[in-house]
Amino acid sequence: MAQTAPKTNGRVVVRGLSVQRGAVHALRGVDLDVAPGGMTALLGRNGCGKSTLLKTIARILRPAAGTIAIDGTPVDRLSPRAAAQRMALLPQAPILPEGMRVRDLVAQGRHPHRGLVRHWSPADDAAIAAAMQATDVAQFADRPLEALSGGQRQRCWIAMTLAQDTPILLLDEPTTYLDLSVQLEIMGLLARLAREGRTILVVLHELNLAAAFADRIVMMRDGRIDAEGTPDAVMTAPVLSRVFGLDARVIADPETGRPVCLPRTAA
Amino acid sequence: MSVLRASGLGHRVAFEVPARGAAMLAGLASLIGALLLASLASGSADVGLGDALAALVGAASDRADLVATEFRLPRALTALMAGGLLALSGALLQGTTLNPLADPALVGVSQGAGLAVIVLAVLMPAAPDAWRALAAFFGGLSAAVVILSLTGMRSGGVQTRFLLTGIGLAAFLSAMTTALLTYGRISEAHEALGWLAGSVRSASWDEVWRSALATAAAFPICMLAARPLAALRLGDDLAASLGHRVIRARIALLLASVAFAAASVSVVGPVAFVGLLAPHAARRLAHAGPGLHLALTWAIGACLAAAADLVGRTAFGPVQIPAGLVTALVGAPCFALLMLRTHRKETP
Repeated sequence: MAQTAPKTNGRVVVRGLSVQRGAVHALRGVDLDVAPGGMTALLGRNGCGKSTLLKTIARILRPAAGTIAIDGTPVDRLSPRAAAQRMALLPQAPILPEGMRVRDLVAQGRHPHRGLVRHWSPADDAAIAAAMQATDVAQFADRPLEALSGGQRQRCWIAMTLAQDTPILLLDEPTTYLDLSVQLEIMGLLARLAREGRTILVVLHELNLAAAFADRIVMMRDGRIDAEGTPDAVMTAPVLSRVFGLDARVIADPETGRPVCLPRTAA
Repeated sequence: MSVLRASGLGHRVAFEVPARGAAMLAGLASLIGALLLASLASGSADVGLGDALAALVGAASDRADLVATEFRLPRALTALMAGGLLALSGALLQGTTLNPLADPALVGVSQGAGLAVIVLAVLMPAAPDAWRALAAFFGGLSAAVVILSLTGMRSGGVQTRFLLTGIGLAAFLSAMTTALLTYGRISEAHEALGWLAGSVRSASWDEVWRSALATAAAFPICMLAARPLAALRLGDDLAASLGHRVIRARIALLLASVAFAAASVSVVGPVAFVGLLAPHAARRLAHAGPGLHLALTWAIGACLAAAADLVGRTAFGPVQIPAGLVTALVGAPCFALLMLRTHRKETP
């Protein structure tokens, strides 16, 4: 049984998705189309439902209503293993087991490709090596993760999701708690992976980071999608005011032409 | 880091083992052999090392044969296997609760099993031995369910609460057991007390076969447990995203952990700290994948319990100290160290 990654191209279609968390309606009828390849950023205030949407697509949370399909297949009809061969998730604060080395962490991504009596394969080795190469962590392969900096560690986690070899990557605030230069480095890495054909759906807190790197931006408010489109189309003063309650000007970056949000700070 | 690999059947079956871990496992296996020999050769009746070796292969002189094969061998084998089961129980409990300080005898699982066994002895003194193991399983399971419903199943963060609740429950169950022994007028109260301190003193070949059966069942279960255990270490969300059914895996691991503890308790009584220390020692000893880690954990637990019994039996002879007391004497300081380290990590 030679295992190859399933031939999907990574289109995610969400229809009428509602999620209840306790007594709270975390999502209220969300429709979303994520085209294959490219980076989509989910933005919004705390509690707007962006992480809930990501986790529901990843099948961690169960929807109260609505459907999610990957390349036409409803995700609730996939086995956990089949789903894990189509999408990989990097949670916001993953637990780092004590003493784990970089290569072993990256190898965890191969779980859905391994079996009870099949603990390694040449495809595993190739995927692990390629993932460490792509994230530039191969040099640390034998080091314990505790010995690495925050940014290096985050690259290792991303390498783990890459080793899972899925067309879709879901990331929940991968830049939080990192220095600004490291945030840029991580976003640059994700943008490159998106250009190479992966479908990347990422929850972000930093408006300008999203505007600088994402192909599309989805703005969420109160469990609904408020605005959706290219950074140019969505990063406008009225949207920022409505979604974030932010009084801001939006200008174009003189070098890249991407929109930049400048909150008014004068008293 | 060298890794030994083997594959066959067109790569449908493929295993890999880090060389260092494999070497450690071989070393522990010889240590087990040495402990067995030492157990046979030492004690009040004089059995020489040569006789002990001969008894192991079934060719000893009559008197040496009687002492070694009817008293010492079953006792040593029971201690080995009970220790191995406890260690596995601890590894699975630590894995499923994500609590590095979890130990079946520390959080009340073993005490629950012990209480159930005593209750059975009071209510139905004539019950067959097999019932004892069943009672132990349901007693341990009830204790586990009580702790987890008090502290929450999905948690790595509330470790202190989990431990405190467990220690409280363990004390409560022990007190109930003592009360029952005091008022229950059990004819073998003395025997039961020794058993409750974790002793293999009265172990016969019956105990050996019972623990061998449990050990034989434990190995395939551990093979099944290894992969979900590895994924759960990364947290629920990642484990799910890696294709595991998290809740189902948690429950299965917990049931297996309770079953291993119950199998061990029903034979030797609650022995503390073996389940706590063995998984940590295995991790220190060699960098290993989850399957090999469980194998190392089993071997270390077996060595710990057998060594504890040997020391308890011979160090202060003719007075015999139950193995459970020896493990407690060694284990409690180690537990304190681990607790300090864990605490430091949680509050940097």
